Amino acid sequence: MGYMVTQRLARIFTAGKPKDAVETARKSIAGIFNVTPKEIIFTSGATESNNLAIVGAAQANQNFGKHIITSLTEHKAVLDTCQFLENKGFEITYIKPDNNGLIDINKLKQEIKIDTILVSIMHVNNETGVIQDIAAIGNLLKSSVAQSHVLFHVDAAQSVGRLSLDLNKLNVDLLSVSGHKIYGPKGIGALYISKANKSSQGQKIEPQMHGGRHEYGYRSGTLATHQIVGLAYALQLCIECLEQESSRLSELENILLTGLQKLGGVFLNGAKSERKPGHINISIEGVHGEALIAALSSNIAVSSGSACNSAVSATSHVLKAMGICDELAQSAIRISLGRFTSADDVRLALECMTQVINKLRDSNPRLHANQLLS
Amino acid sequence: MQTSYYPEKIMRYLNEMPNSGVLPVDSQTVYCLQEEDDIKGYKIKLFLDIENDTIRDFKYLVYGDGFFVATLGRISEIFCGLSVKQAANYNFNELYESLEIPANKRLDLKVIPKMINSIILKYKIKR
Repeated sequence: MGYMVTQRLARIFTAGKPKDAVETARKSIAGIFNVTPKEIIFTSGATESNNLAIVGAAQANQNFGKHIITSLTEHKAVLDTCQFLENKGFEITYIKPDNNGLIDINKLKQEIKIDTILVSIMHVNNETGVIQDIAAIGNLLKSSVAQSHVLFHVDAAQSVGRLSLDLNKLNVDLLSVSGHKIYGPKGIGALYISKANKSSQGQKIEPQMHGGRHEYGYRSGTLATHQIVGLAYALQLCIECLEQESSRLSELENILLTGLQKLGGVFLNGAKSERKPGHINISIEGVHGEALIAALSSNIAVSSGSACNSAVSATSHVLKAMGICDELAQSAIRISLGRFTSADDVRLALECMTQVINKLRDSNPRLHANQLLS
Repeated sequence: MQTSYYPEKIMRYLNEMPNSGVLPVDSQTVYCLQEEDDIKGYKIKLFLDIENDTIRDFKYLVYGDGFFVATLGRISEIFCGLSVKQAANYNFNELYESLEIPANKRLDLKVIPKMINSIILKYKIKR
């Protein structure tokens, strides 16, 4: 369990029965999102939430159509789920983002068809930190351009607790939440299911787990009370220091990026401004990302892409979709600054990275004794 | 995360990169060969100083993941002082075992013995 949540947990637990603790947590999360408690259901994490939202929506709405739109840069929990549905006869359109990783709203508009039932677009990309304009997408889907039965699912695992989210103002039907991304416990997440009915539909999603009709019938299974309380409290803590943390992380990010860019041949992947503070994806020309990560690992932990994708070692599908060439995609690393990252940590990281980058570049047959191409 | 992807033995060679560098290619005894594969993501340049059927020095330049970098570092240590016959008959599988290199990665690393054998052949032809 994320240790930030341990202190006040006991107080919430001792306030009443486990059921009360769960409902207090649900109310707290709902309050943060400006929705009603009945619109929040607890799951085992964002992967389950994504599966429940996408497969559940597909099954509940297949009488209206079998077309789903998503993007090429989604998390595997969305892409693999869409692939599963594709194998079951659903048609999936994968939208390619621009070079900054952003979805063109007009492109999305063109892909909506009479039988489109669901659009699933992540809020913040887990590899690049790029923020999609979910307000604009929600408005588009609500407008007369789209058919009224098009549901909008947002994988918000990377944005919840990091960006302000008023779901009452966004036209989002389903939104996935993760516990451990916000310093909460692993093995807990949530799914927001909007109660606002669209004209031509009844139930938004069909449950995927049966046996007990827990969580308003959407997700059967005994609730992990301690995890749920931990999630709620972790989210509350994130929200309390959201503004302060955002500006602190932006400052640290600037120090790190400015320092790294002095080395030359360092490229930020993804949009510069529409990006979550503290989330950096850079390509370092002439340095293999995996070699750099390993060489740094005794001092600092960075990753080559998705931390959730460690079972496979391949070039990032996200960077490929953004049109980044193979060499720069192989040279990409992801650096995440967080609540416990200090200015001293950043300075140490910069020092270590400079040393290792120079060493690896000096050993690159193309760069040895030559200048960088860029 | 892939920070724990590499065995400890690989980490040592990755951090030290022993014998990384170049040898003067205009020397009569230095043999050089470069190979690259954009898909697998490596570029390797080997420099072997061979005289009187003995590998006197072994240097390399490499762009690739940690397995490429570390394996070349270890090979450079082993091959310095070997006769060309010993080098040509060297059992790379034993080396991969000792470095705990995963089976799937060993296929990519096959390029290294191939390059060494090509250099030895060049030496033999020249001799």
